[in-house]
Amino acid sequence: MSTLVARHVSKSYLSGGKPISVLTDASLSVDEGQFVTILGPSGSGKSTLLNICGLIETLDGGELIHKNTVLNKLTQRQRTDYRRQHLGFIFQSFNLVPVMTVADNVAYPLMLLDWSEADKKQRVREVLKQVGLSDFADKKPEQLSGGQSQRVAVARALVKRPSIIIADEPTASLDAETATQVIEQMKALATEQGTACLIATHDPRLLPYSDSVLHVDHGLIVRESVTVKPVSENHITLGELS
Amino acid sequence: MKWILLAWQNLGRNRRRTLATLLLIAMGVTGIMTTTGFALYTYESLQEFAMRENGQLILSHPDFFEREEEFPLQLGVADSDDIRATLLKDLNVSYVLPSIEFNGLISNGEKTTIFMGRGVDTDLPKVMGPALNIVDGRALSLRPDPAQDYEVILGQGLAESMQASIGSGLTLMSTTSDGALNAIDVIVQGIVATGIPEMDARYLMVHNSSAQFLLDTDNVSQLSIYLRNSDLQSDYQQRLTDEFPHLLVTPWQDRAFFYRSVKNLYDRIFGVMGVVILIMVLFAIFNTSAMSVMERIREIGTLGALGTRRSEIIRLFLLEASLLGGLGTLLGYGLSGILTIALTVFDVQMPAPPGQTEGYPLQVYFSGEVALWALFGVVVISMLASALAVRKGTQLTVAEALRYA
Repeated sequence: MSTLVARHVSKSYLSGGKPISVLTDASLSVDEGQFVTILGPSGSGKSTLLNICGLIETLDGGELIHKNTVLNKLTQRQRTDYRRQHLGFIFQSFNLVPVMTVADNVAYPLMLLDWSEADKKQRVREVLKQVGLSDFADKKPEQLSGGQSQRVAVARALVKRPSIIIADEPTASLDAETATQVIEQMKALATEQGTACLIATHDPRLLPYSDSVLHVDHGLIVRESVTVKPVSENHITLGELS
Repeated sequence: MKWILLAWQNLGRNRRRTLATLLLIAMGVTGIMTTTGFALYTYESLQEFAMRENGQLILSHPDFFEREEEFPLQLGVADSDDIRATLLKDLNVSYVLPSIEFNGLISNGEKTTIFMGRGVDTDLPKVMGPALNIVDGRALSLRPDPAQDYEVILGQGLAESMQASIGSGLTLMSTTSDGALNAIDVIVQGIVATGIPEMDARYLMVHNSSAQFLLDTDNVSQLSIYLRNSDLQSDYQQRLTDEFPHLLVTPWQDRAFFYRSVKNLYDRIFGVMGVVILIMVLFAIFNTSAMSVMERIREIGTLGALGTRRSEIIRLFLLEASLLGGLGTLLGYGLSGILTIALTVFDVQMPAPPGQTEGYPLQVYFSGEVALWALFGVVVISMLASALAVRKGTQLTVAEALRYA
């Protein structure tokens, strides 16, 4: 069953008083536990599509449905509460809160959900262990490397077991090796939890991990493809669907 | 609690800026606490002086303070001894002191000038204490000897004018209540300084009995009632009004003109200063909050993306401002406390006010009530300033905030 469905979504911005279309008639479907990558060059509209799916931007036309809830009809407050309940976010530059410790950063989404202190601590400990940062719980973000910071961000996104994780260029600030580690960890945890991942990127290293790839260009989803698992580490083939 | 903790952590982001803002608030609160503390000390000193001079309540003829007498003690109180005896039966009343206001001429044989006299009870020095500033000689005798000349205490200026010193003989002349001229010889017993040069040049004190003899009357001008507990004043005012319907009961405040004018003046001066200080605090917090918001717009976007409501983000900034205001106020309490103690230890004298000859010690009271109002005012102002600053920062959408460079 599809977790998230976007149908004929369009979005435009005003620039110098004139509307500029950034997304036209975009449709997608993300299933439970699926790893979907939105691939495209800068300015192609992939981040806009991601933001619309993450309820941080509104759509001008079309429909966005998550488990029978029509999301595009929600008020701003309802969208915020929906994100609080069902969505996790990972950003390119980690966006950790600098004054909080690693554990507090990870615990923040649970704090918003009013988890008890004991449950919160246990869950944070569990997730930090999964991302291999148990020993860094009391550190501040400034004391972490880029890879460690992004793993904290992954832990923060997954801690509340959301339905969908929205990730915008999660590997863009990382070197190749670290990026691979982070993505593998993200993929493993998301699969284990049954969390769908919707990732905007122009990093082809993510493709082998993707169940589906949406190619976006000039505001259009130009094609959707499924990945065929590589026969060797260095060889990736894309099987085109449409 | 979790939000307060987060707000507390956020204060540590830019420690130098936080410290600067804290110090500014602390200085503002110190300003408020010390100026109001000084005003309170002044009010209490003047209040005490006024009450020592006239008691908490004054019993007089209903028209005594309203119109001029046609002859001495025309508007006086008769049977003052009976009234006094009745009042003193009450254990809450410590003293009832009759006094007589009169005037006339004083002469040393070669020079004559006018005087403003006050007939006083022998217990007056006890109740006036240090407020009766005898600069030479001593107070009037507790039991005047009828065989001796009447005793007089002169104002400093009047003594100089009469070239009188302790033991000098002078003559007081006045009109009796029948309109006749009368005179008594007096011996200078002491010289007093009221602190007001114009007053010292005319002022003298004699026993009530001396004044009554001079004026040929048994009346007194007024009876000053000293209560053991000032909190009983309004109850007693009502009681005395009921008990002596033919007399006027006046609370000390109505006759303490100097106290009232100083209080009105200080209230306005220090009130304006307080408002200026609070406006300074408002701008300081606004500046700090505005800078903090601008620096944290992307973080506001992140928190919003994670599901933090706009109201929760605003609340976080308001909590930060409240903590800043509260801590600054506490620091201000500490500074003003140190200043208060320092002024108690080191005797700093204020110069004499205009029209007076005596300075007074600079003291500052620490008032719990003022402290609470200062805390309330600063915290409210801090929240208001922060609300103004944070409003714009939280108006961006989450996507706009996340894109903010």
